[in-house]
Amino acid sequence: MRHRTWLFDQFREVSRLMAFEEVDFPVLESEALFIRKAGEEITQQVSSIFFLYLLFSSPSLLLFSRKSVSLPLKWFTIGQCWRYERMTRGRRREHYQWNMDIFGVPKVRAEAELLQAIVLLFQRLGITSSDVGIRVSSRKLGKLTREEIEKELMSTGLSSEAVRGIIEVLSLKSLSKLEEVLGSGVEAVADLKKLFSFAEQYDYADWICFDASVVRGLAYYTGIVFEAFDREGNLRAICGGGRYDRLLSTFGSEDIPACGFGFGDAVIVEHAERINASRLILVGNSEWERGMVRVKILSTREEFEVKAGELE
Amino acid sequence: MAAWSSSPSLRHLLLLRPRLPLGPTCLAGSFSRRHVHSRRRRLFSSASSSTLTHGDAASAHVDGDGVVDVNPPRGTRDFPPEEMRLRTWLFDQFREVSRLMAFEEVDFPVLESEALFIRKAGEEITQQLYNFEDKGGRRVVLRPEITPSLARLVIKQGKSVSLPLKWFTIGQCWRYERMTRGRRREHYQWNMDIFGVPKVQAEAELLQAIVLLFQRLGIPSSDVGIRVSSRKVLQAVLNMYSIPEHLFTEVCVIVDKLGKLTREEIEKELMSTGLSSEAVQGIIEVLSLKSLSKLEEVLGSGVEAVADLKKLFSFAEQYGYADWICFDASVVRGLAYYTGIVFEAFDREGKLRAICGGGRYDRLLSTFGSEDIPACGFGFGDAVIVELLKEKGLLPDMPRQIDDIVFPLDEELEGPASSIASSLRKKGRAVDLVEDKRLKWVFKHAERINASRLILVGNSEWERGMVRVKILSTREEFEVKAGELE
Repeated sequence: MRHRTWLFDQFREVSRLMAFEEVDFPVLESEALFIRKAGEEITQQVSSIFFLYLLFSSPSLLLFSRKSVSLPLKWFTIGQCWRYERMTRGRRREHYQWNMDIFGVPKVRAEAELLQAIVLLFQRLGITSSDVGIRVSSRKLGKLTREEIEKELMSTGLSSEAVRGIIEVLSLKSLSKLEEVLGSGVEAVADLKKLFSFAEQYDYADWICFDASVVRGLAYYTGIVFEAFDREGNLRAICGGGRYDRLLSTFGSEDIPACGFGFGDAVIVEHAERINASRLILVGNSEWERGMVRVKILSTREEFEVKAGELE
Repeated sequence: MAAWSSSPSLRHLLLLRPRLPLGPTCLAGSFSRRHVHSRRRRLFSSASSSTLTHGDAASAHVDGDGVVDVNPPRGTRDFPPEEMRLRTWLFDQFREVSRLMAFEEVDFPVLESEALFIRKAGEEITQQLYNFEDKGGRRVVLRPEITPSLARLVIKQGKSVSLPLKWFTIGQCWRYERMTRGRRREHYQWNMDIFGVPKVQAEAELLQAIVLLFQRLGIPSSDVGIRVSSRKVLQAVLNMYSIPEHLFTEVCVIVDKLGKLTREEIEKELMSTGLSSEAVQGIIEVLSLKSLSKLEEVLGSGVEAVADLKKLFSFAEQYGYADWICFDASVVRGLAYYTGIVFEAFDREGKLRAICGGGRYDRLLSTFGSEDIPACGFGFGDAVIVELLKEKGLLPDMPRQIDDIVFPLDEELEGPASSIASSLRKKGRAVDLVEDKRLKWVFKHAERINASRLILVGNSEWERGMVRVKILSTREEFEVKAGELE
């Protein structure tokens, strides 16, 4: 419980630094919220659906009149989510999830803010950009797979190595190459260029990379999508999210631009445990304010302070 | 009795908030396939289940492609930001008192096996279970109370557990009740429990926690009191009339309704359990006692009930909360498993329901097939206390609070605004980055969210590497080098 409280405190603190407000909803919801028509996959409804639910149900937002809603809304919550799965796979049926969502900001600025939140969280946990990365793509690329994009790039005469370099690193260079190949009218590229430029300004450019495969399995996203992953190759995503500008209309209401992410409590703990197995990284509030973390080497019991950005 | 129409609509079924799919398709795909298949299964199992009633389906207005019902399920609450701040404040009070009392925080799943709550003692709580069958055909329930989960965890820890245990939790509890009474179906409850202390010292500690909480909230002992008694009083009376042991629990549950039913109705119910009218009269008389000395007269001084209560009142003097508590033999509490001292906090004006309640339950674990461990605890809900605070005008003002608002005055400065916001956040400041709004709106917004500073990024200043900082409380304004912003 102490570990959980500590982790949730990190979630809350990052949310506070980002000036988000906390909200909560009943864990029990009407199924209608998650199943629209017979046959439609529930996963297409699942995402930050309960945010939209609250958006409707909060007294001041009930009628969803633009006059009474003060956009943008920046809300976060930490709640328990459930699923029913056959236990033969030894999988959990519940997990806690930290969700951050921004309503009413149509620009890529919103995604940039969300990515900063994720990076801040990792930094506070003592995780570095060499441990973890965030794959970014855009649904506006359509169903173009990574293979197809690679093929297009190779057809311009680039070596497969160079192609890989372009795809794996979200940089101005790679974006302009993509633009060449996909056409400059492509909104996706414009969005990604914007995001990359923000990443430089926010100083988390070394955390993100482009990967077209991120779009799959997230049918309701309409723009930028992203997921954080373990660079050691563990397949499960640590967190994921994106833009979903047209979900409210599927509930019969006017659309509001929206984007958000969900960050579960299981994978990150496994991950942090593995990374911290050889070193214990303690981040206390006083150290954090000075931009430092305390590192303890378990074998020698040495302990010293290190600048958070210089953690190796 | 299920309220199904001829073409049952699945839309009114309730479910637990699903997990969000993150990443690989396989997870997403398998989840949806399974769900679509079992939807049909659940329809049939629900139709035969007596507990999944959907009389409240009338509230859900989903038809065709209409707007989805914007209300949370009947009897439940959403917590938009303002309500959430109040809730967080209240829970922080619970946590702080628990910390002062040196209790450790624990938690359990809100979903439990129904078997944990089958007690057949006629308690209201077990008659209003929010239970259902899951897709594996298992009977599960959204917990109505937390103590059994706690007991389950203690048993699970087995021999390795190091007594005494002092645990607290704040969790949501559920009940299924007909909504005609406009009652809630869920509430949050702060629970504190002590395992492994057989002596009245434990109850004395719990009472201190409750009093501390009231004091922290600014509620005086003139507004609120704690009635104390012991199940052993009733036990002693039953012994006097040679009433069989197995009737004890039933009698307690009936007697607990003294405030809600008339004396005649209580007498009738007691008689229907097989008690003689003599015994019934004896019980009713003792229950009306409000003085320990009177109780001693009636039961005798060697009786445990009296000794326990005397000890507790002596502790109360030592702890300094004697003016908060009083003896009232009518307090038995409605849970089947209490075995000793019981107590409940009440508002002296008599307008509200019990604020919290608890007691000793030394024989709960054996009902779960384990060895008994002495235990006592209380549950403190989040609803009545808030009503009380509202009544007394003690609800705190909980406005938002932000450190800085960063606002680029021109679109091309959004990049610099980003790096400023980013570095301030890394330094621990809560920063709201605002864009695409008029300056007038930004000032209003700053007032609304109680920002300390407004940092304006404008072209002419930025060209010199500066930003304009405005201290909102004093209206001071000055330029600062971007790199030196703290």
